[in-house]
Amino acid sequence: MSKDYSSWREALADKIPPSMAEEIDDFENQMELRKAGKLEEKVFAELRLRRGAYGQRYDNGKRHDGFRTQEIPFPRRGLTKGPETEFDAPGMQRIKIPFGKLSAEQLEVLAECAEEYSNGVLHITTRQDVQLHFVDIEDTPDMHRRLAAVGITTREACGNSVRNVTGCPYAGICRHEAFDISPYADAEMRFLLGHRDVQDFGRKFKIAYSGCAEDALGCGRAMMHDLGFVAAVRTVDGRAERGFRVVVGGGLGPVPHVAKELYDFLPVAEMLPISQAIARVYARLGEKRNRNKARIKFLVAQLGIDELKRLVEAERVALGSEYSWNELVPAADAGQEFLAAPITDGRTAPAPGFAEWQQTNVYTPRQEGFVAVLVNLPLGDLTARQARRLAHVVRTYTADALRTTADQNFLIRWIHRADLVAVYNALFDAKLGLNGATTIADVTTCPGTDTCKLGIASSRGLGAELRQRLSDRALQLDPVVKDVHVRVSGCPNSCGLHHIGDIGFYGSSRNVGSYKVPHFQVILGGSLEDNAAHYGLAIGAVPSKRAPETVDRLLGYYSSERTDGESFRDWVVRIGKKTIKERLQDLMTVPSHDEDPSFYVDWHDAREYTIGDIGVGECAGEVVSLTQFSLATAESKVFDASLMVDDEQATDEEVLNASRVAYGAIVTAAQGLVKARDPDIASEPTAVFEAFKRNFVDTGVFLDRFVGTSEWQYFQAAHDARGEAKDRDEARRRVEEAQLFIEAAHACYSRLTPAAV
Amino acid sequence: MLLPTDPGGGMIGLGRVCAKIYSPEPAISDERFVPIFHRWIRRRALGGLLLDVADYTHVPEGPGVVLVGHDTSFSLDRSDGRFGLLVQRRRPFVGDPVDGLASTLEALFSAADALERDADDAELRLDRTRIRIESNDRLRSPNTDEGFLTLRPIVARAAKRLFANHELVVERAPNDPGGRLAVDVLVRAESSVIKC
Repeated sequence: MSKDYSSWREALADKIPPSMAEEIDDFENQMELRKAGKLEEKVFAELRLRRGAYGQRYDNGKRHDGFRTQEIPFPRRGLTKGPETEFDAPGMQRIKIPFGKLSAEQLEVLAECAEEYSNGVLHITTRQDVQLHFVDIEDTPDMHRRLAAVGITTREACGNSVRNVTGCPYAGICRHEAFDISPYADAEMRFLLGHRDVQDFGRKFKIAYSGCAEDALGCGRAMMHDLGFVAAVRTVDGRAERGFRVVVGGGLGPVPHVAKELYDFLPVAEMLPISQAIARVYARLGEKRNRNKARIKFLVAQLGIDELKRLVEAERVALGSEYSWNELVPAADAGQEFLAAPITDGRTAPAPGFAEWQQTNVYTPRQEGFVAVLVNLPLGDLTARQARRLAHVVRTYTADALRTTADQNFLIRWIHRADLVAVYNALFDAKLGLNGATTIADVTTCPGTDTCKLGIASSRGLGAELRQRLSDRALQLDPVVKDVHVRVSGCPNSCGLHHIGDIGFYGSSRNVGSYKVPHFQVILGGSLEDNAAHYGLAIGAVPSKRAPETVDRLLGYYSSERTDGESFRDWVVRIGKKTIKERLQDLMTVPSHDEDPSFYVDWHDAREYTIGDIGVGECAGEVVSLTQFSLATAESKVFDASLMVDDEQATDEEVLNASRVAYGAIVTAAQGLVKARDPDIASEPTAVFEAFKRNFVDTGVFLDRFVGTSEWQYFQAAHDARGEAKDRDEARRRVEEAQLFIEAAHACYSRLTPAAV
Repeated sequence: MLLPTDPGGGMIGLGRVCAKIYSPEPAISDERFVPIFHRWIRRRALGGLLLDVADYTHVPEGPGVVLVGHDTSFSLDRSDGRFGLLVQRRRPFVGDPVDGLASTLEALFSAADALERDADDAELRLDRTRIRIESNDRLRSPNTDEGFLTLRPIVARAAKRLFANHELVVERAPNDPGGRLAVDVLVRAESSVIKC
């Protein structure tokens, strides 16, 4: 990058699609407005969440040091980026990687961002995202620009929106799939990203694509998602027709639900309109006030699947065929991801450990002559330096065939079998050649108390401990035992997917005397089979420090008692949880503090344990109306316009453009108010103008004793001129009038919703 | 080549920076540093605002145990394959980058002194005669020859403030072009000139 550029905004101006650039500029403006106290903290919180900028532990400005809770003296104490969230506190950036597909170039830019804005570590999540921690929010606009320049968006990575669309990482090479779901997952992502019908949810909405119904590996995990698509092919009049089994209302969390079937076969052409219809029903009828009941699974439970289907189909009829759904749904499979020929002759001598690695990390796809390899990442982490070396491997041996997996690893696909040793050697050199991928040693964890505001116990600390203890033994274990999955969450919300682990843990706390002791609830009997349709149940809590021994004991019983071919889940069912609990009973006790104080300190920590650091989570986001979003966007636009007219160096054309931007701000604010009455209002200015006049002026709603009349005239004048100004003075006046109109719109909205925040 | 004592220029050539000094003993266990870092947070040691401890010891050749600060973080780092103490300036410098870099190096040496003292372990020694400095800002100092020409005088001037009477060698550290622009400062015998 040339040093002649003074900012990333300038440097990447011609590399970012204009709409993405504008969104990022808007977010940067909103941040400035928040700093100036001109944007409500709750609104800004949801705006930043929808850009993937999440809060992190201790961002309320308090931290327990093992003895007492200390105030953290952030420089701008009291300036917040959300309720009880200090602006200066570091946060987490979640970056969506749709169905895990990532190019070498994208991975390199992620590595750069990790180094410059985080601590040099990339974390792969259980929903195929990438997360960076300890990020200063003021760095996020530049980070978003750098990501956008290589086609990555963070939009709607958090908040009450459609989260990352996940998909089976083996799609296209799987030996069991009906067809490659990749292009369909991609179409779904592109269709719903920023779609107006997904902006007014009471909670988040997660979508997953699976390639096969008999999903023994559980790669797609459709049954644990709000909306799941499972690929299927049927024959009609002798012709094979692609479609999906559609399931809805699944989800983990404290109250897990297995998704229910909405359609046993939905033709692919109906995939997007039905998704949109479901979104509309959820936005209209889903709970908004009580976040604990706001996921669609509760709506499905309340209405019943038949009534939901009736409502969805009514919406589908109303949608008609106005959209270009068929253009978005691809006719062909994903592009070629392999090189024309191997790079090596296959005679390279392997680095140490190749045989063990090959045993656990190499997948044989259905295409002859190729292999896919799992890059086993401890707890989903790799360094920026490793990421660059991985990108080099991907670029050298494939045509960008890389996916993140929901088991927090990478999958390199489409490697010529002849290059397998060379790939291993390169990974080995980069310290990425760890064996044991997806075995019992490959423990899945959420961030837990390391960084999550909701964490109760150290899931990563326990995960690291289990990984260390089990790694050496994993390869010696019986294959069936070796494939037992351990999944750890720091709290009941199940980001570590404890419900679908053979052995799951989630963090909890117990009082012992006058002390708190970190514990983990033991969950047994979950499974990835049938697209993650089997959830385990809790059998009791063990002290955190006894969780490894608990795993050892369970494996010991399973190894000695299992019948031929019996899975862990089947063994749990056969033996019974009551019996298993009795066998673990002695591990559920806690020695006194005098006897063993180590029980009162969590894994990989040095402080005496407390639950005083638990904060308010942001998973649920803030319930902010469409009107509030529009007003915030209008604020951002008028802020931009004011910068243009204040710039003494600006050309006449630039200043006149400010008038057009100001007009756009008025239209956006007016549209926001109309949305309170008609969520489907178009964005075309004349349509907005007429709807606003009809709903808010003719009815007198916008006109108040003190404000409204003049501001309506400002709208009329700007609309008559279509935003054009004669000269610099008029442009400046138009900007000021736009600001006044937006203020009046805020006042009007307050009158409409006196209880609203 | 002799560096001029007042190289000038390069004032906008540095936004954020990392600096690392190495330990000759590579087999030190990271776990002992966790309680030390927590204690430093509790006692508000080192002068800056310290926030939290992050444990990445499970990552091979990773940042190890990280003491996260508001402006500056410290870690027992192995990410370049060698064990050492790394300081990361998390926020861009405001004002003269030479001041910023010099203060970052001072923070590194203060932390090294405190660590050697608090670790209570004769094995932990950090070599202050070789400092790896990486510009952590690809916009202002890209990993190019031009970037090095901009960065070198800043590094030389900042290092001179800390080692006024030593011979200093500032040389570019070859690395992956996608990596950060890196230089090594070699602190040699006491002298009144700076070499590179």
